[in-house]
Amino acid sequence: MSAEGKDTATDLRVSIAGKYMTFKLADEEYGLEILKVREIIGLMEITRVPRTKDFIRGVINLRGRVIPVVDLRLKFSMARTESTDQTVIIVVQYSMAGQDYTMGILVDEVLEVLSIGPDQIEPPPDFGSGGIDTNFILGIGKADKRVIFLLDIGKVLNAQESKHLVRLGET
Amino acid sequence: MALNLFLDELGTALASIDPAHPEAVCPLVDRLRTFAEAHPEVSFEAVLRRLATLAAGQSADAASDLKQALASLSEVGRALDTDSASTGPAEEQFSIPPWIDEPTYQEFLHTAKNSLDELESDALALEAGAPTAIDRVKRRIHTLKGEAGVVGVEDLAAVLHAVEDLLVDRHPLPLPELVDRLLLTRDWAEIAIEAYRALRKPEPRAAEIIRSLGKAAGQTAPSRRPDRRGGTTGRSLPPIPEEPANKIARDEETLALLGEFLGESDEGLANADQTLIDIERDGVDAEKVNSLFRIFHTLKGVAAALDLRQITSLAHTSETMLNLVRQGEIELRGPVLDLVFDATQMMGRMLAELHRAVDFAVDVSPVGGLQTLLDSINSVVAGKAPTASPIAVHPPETRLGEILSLNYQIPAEAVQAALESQKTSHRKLGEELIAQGLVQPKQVAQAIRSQSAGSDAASTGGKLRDTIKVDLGRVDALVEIIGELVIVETMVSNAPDIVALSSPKVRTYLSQLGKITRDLQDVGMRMRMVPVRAVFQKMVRMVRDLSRKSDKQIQLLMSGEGTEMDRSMVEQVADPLVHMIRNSVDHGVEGPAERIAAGKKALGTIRLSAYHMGGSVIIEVGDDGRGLHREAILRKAVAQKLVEEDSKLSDAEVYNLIFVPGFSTAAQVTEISGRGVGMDVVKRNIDQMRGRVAISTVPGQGTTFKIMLPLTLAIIDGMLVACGEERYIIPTLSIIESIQPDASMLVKFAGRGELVNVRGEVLPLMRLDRLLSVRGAKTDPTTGLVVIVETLGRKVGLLVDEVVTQQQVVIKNLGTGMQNIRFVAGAAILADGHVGLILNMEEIGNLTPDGRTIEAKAGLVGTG
Repeated sequence: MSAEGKDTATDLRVSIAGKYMTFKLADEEYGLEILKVREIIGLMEITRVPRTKDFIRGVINLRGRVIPVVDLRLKFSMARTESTDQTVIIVVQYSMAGQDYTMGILVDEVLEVLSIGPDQIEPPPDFGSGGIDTNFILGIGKADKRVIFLLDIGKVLNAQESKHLVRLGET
Repeated sequence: MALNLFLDELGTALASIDPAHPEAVCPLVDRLRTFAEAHPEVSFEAVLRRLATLAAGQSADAASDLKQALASLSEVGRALDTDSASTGPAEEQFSIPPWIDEPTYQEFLHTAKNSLDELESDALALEAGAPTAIDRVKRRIHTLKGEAGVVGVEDLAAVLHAVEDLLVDRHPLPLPELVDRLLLTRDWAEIAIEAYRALRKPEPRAAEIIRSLGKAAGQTAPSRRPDRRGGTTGRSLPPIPEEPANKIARDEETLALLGEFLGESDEGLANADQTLIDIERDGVDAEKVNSLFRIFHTLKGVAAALDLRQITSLAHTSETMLNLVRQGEIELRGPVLDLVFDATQMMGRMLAELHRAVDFAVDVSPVGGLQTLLDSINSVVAGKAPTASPIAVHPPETRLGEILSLNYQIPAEAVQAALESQKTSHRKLGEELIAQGLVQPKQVAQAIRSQSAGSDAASTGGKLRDTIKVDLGRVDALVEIIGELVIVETMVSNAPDIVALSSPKVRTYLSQLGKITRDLQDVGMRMRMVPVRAVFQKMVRMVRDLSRKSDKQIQLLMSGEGTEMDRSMVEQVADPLVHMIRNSVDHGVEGPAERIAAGKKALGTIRLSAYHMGGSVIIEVGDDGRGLHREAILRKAVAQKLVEEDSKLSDAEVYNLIFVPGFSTAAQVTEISGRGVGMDVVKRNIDQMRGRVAISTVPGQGTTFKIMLPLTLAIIDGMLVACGEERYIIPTLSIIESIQPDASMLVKFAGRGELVNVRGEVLPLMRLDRLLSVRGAKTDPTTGLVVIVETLGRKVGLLVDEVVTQQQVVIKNLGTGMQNIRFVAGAAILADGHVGLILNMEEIGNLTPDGRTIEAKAGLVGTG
């Protein structure tokens, strides 16, 4: 790695260091930038919206405001989230291409708020041309012996897809 | 030299510069520089920059640069006018010094005002001979001076310092004189504090007061509003060219300026009318005249910058007359007052015309009567007494309403109705009538005049209610929060735990909470409401132009322009109205010869009225023309295969055919009143607003279109239907009926689609569960329910499991990224707090039985 490359990597670590809210999907641990988390609400009845993508579970009433809820497991091609006592909806707020988005993310369990320093961060894994897109991962955080995927939530619900949560092919 | 006077002169000088010789601005630039140095508080930068380019001969387009300079200049003028809006044109802005925060500043002003009152009683005690009073006065003034210095209100501090000097002078003034000065100071300080509170520097300034403190006492405070301007009269604008300039520049900047100008001017004119009514009732005072003057002055400045010559000339002429009033040369009463009324009315018409021209991207048409009005004003300016229009003198006990109905043919019922609604609106009668658009402000003023011609006791005219400008986003946010409150309130009241409670107290509280919530919702909704006046006024001109073009004589009568509806709907309703009125003119009202032959007056009438009924706004467009020709419509519909030849249609069904797309634009039926241009547009627009339109017509006597619209776009009546596990909301307005079909009513169509035969009318049957991939819904139509819905003139049956309830819902969008979902128009929070989806009936109604859209296949209605 060239000196310059090292600097870039350091810059990256410094820039993504900070507080993360960690949560679980199946056995995996993920982190969301705390500044993008608006609140955590218990699971409530989700109204299915016809003719939308599978990972859109539907819409909920957030104190009078209607927001979409995304099943992150489905989004990551895991099995559909089943509701348990621990299942919650994390309400995130982010902007992408000048649009503000407020969405709910359905996760299995919320763990904690973790401060992750630059020295605890590894750059996103490179799967080479294996076809796995890691674009939406900011980096990998290490705390104790755990590995936490730090998500760029805007990219997870990726700009293009956020815009087209509606399945266009179906119209 | 006073700022405004200078701005005036500079503006006029600039306007008269020939773009071919831009170097003529050189002397102006020098003057402006000197002046700008003397007045560092005003920013002339923009103007100077433009002018410098011109002066240096570097301008590529001198004419446009000149215009820009004028615009910047009037910007400066406007900024000044705004700063000093309430007390005079020459006052300067005061800004709180950086070391003081606003609460401290306000606190100081508050306590200062209190200690002024104490100062007054101390001063009076001093005069009465109280021994310790002089010390108290000294202490107070000293403290006040110190505080004033700290918060940076220098004028006040300086005056108090001067008074303090008087008090400690070794050769004190005789007591009465000293007290006079103290009181003079106190009075001025009170004015000053008010000025500071409004963040302006006090007027007159400290130096003036200090001077009068030194002069012989016993005088009252100098006049608060010395006349600082004068020279307006002598000047004249460049003469109006023979051919009026009716082209409007349409570059983005100009359009933005125009929009702003129109908005501000409307407000200004409304204020002017109110001021005029006040003058009529309470008499003239300098402040009112000044505020009138300012309004016309501002209009003139901006209009000149925008090159609106007619408006400029009217504003200039009126301003000239008002200036003479300010100088006391003309008395503002009677016919002169009428002239100002006429001027504001004319101005209003010209602005409306300008608005129309901008909106429709056409040239400005000259407004009739301008020259006559200008001539009358000019003859007043030239010193000729205007002719008074005769006024009937009514005894003072005559009610304003009676005078209005006697003199202006305002229907007694309308006055009665206004008196009724006055009870709830708490407006004065005159104001109520103006608000409803039934009378002109001038008429109220004249009525007041004739009322007080018998006595001075009358005062029934009104004052426009104070308004504030609020950011629309905040209003929307408030309305949204109220919506949430309404939902939560419903949820709480219907919560099973609460319902199970038998405590009468809790029930009382809950019903109070419910009532307050509804009231709040009502108030919130009304905040977004505006009168339909703006839209109605656009139609006046259109009728005039259209009737002239088609050689017909048509008058447009309007009523209820003050009827309020949601702001966004007022804009949306304009389009359908244009189409309907166009139709009435083109096809409804006959030419004069035909009318006379039919035994009618040659002058045709189109009535445009708006009123509230229940929870709806009704807008009616009626004409006294030839009416719809049932047979002809039917013939044409049969020819276009829209209906079966022998089908028995009700009148309403026949008339509704004119809304079917394709009906109007197809073959011309010129020998009868085909009446169809753009009617499908009308229908679609009204559907979009979730409204309905009904037609009533009497052959030979005319046609009336009645548009029923919801009060607001935010709330609809919906029917909650169940389908499998899910629930959806169908807007009630599009539902005709719901039926439980038996097997004999169901028909298969081409092996795929399904149809339902409702009393001989065969309609496509849509299954909601299939459209929306709902699981677990009833599959046998005879066990479910078919909701017959009508959209865009087309009926379909929609199969659902059952109807759950009917309720009003607040429409919400589905959140960012979830727009344009097929068949879904939006969401709503249901009584149990869950989200329900509102169906888009237009999209569903646009499907053929086999699930494809019909698009251009309008011919499907009634076949099968």
